[in-house]
Amino acid sequence: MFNKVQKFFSIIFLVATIGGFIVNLVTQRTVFLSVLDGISLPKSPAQAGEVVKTLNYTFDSYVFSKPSFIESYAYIQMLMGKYEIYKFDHMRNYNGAVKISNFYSTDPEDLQDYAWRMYRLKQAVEKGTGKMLFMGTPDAVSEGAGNDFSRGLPVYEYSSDLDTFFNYLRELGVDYVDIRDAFRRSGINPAAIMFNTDHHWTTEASFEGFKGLVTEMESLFGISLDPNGFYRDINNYGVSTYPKVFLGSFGRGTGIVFSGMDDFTLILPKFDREYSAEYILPGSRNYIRRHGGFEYTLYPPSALDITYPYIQSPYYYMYGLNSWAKIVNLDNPTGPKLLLIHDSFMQPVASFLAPMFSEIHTIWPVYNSKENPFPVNVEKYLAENSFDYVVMELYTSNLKDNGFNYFMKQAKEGNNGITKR
Amino acid sequence: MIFSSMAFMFYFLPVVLIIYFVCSFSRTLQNVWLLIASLLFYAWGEPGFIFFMILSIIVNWGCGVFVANLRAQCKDARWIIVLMVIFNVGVLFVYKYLGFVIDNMNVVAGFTMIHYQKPHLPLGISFFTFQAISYVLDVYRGDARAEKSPFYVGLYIAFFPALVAGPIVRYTDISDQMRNRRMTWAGFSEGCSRFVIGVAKKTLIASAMAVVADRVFELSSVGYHIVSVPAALAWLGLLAYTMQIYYDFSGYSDMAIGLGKMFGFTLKENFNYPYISRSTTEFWRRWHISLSSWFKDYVYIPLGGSRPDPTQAAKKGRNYLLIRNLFVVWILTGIWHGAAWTFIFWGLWYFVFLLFERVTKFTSRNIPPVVGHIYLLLVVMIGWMFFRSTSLTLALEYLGNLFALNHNGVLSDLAVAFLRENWLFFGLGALFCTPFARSLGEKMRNSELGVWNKVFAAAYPVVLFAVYAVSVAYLVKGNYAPFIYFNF
Repeated sequence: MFNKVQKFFSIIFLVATIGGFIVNLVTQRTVFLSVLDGISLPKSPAQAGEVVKTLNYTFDSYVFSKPSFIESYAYIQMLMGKYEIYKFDHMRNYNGAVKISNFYSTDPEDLQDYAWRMYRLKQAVEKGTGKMLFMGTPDAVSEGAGNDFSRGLPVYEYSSDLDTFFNYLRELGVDYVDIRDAFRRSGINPAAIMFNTDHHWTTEASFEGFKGLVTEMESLFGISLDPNGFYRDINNYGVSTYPKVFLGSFGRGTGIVFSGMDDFTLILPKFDREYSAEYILPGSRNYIRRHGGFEYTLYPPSALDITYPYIQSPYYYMYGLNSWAKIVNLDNPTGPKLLLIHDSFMQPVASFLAPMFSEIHTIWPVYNSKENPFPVNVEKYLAENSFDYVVMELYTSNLKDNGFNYFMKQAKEGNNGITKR
Repeated sequence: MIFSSMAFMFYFLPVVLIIYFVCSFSRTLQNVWLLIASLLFYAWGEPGFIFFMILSIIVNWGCGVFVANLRAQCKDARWIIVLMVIFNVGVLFVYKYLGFVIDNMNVVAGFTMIHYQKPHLPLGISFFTFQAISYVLDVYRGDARAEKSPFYVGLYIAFFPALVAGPIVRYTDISDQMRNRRMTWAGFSEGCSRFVIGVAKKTLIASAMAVVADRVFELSSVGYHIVSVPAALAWLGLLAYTMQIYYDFSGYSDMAIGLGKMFGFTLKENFNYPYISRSTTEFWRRWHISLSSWFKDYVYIPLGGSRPDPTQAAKKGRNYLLIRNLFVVWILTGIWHGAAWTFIFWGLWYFVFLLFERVTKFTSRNIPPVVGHIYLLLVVMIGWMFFRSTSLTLALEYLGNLFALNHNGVLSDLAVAFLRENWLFFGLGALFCTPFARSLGEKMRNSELGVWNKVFAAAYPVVLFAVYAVSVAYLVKGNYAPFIYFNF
């Protein structure tokens, strides 16, 4: 009897194994053929190792119906009543918001070094007539949202790191904006600051961030970017919410079953302005060039056509991730010129800033390493271009060497009595 | 190549199986295909060392032939054995131990006396080197017939199911099977079931336990002055590692044995519920059986075993040679696992407890089973703590955490979270460490439980397929880590 049962299972096993092989081969053949096309016969063991690595990656990444497997995995985690997923990389709170973990704090020594880089950046900007400030991006946890996690889960809460970093900046005389203040003033619901399935601010929070930044720039630099508050008035924008269309990077990793889907709010100005914009996507040598109004130049309407949320995203201000961009406001040629050194948090914020400046240049340092096909060197770029304002924005997790590896050389002397390490 | 990977399960294995069964009309052709597949399997993981593997096959085959010829002529073949051991152990030494020796020389000198770039350790080198040595030694002892063709020695050494992490196969166990094995559907089916059980052990239980163990050991290695690891968390991390290493390694052995069966081979068991032991002596009869029996047959017994030469024993005291032999075996066992003081200490740890048990006749005493189990688990777990730590300093730090000696307290919210999130895997892990499931299954199969026999028959393929499907979902998610024993 048992032998028969085992034989029956062996048939199932063979069908699954050989069937899986055939189905994967057939459905993924285009990818496999293109990968094979790109592989030349290895001439050394090292090259052979690279070929194997490429093939392993291809086999692991291109699997028939992969999202179904990921969703099944997520479903199993939910069945087990788990709040963490995939080696504690992500955790879900009682309200379904997903966050990442942190088992112990970053070494603050690195933050001090980073503050010195900001200081040197500030010196370089002020060599001209420019002004510079740093904008910190707080996490929702510090705002009271997302604290409702199951007991003991090591949620990544980086406010203390951000505060430490602000302290270093203050000691060095580098201006900064603490956007938490703007969020508190705005009265935005802390739970609505971040997407549930992503580590980014929602569009509404980005708008509050934009308002806070403009207010702080005006106050710190004594300027008038938006004298009547016109651009900061949400009534001058069209606000549309699209339910359950956004699956952020956390959600793509954990599966929809675990994270759910986010609503996405699109904020588009009601006022007309004419822009021209150039974007370079990470890893690309080619420009994307656009010319026209906000909708199209700074936000492509096609981004809302979501049929496959695992790879499509409506979070697509400034055409999503780009390593460099230049936005020219053709209706404001005499306005100030802004350089944003930033990460992904600034895509919507930069778009909202566009009407107030004549030009906004953006550089995302992590995508401008030497290995990048079209690297932009921040130090050279600053020397070659004249900017009225430079805003540096980095998510605390990006305060790492690959996040901003410029102005790393040591200052000749300390500042404000701080001894350089 | 890793068994529990997409590349193996959905590309390599189906292709190998299809061609293997297409060649069913010729055993030689099947063997040729298995050797090609085995070399490809190794080259996939270690493209740079495939020629080294072939060299090892040829050298050891040559040694076997030489030894057999000299023996046939009644000549002394010991010098061949010496050369063979120098070659095999020498290669192992260069790749695995030279860096460690140089590091320690530099430490003793107090400066970098010798600059040395440690070479990459070839996958499974300790396993296939031991297989190669045992082949030539078996020929020398007359236990095995020397192969005239390098082909069969190649198939024996490179046979992919057992190539990179054992079980360490003896030539005498497999030589006849290579030529005369009988393929049956029942055997193949048993192999499929065993393989799937191994995959599940690895991808479900071992991987879940690895997450907890890795996190806790990582936290402990940060240092108690930066991060406090309360005792409860330290014990939970250690328990998780204790389960991880068992399910990781026994899972691999299950996969190897299952794959062997699919191709008609019967490989010896490597594990027999080691954690139910009541003494370290019993534990080592149940844990990594192929390694402990290898050391017993090729080191311990040739050294005199536990019955040393009576004349020498009389001169130097009865226990001296026993202690020496045990010491040699256990220091070699430690070193075999890795070139680090932690492994040496781990080997000596067992030497001390095995000696203690021998001297006190521990296993013959009427010790309550519960006491025996607790004693064994404590010895094994603390042993694993040294084994898992990357240095003795970190091991001592972890030991301090275990006993709350680092101002680290006892209770831990994180431990609660780890336990709550992984309760199922901790539960299943604890259950399957015992023969409970096997005995229950046997009772159901043998109709001892009446109607349950039919329930078992209906549930078996469903449950096994569900386990397989869940394992594949975990694999596609990328939820696996390399096998621990790949490092050895």
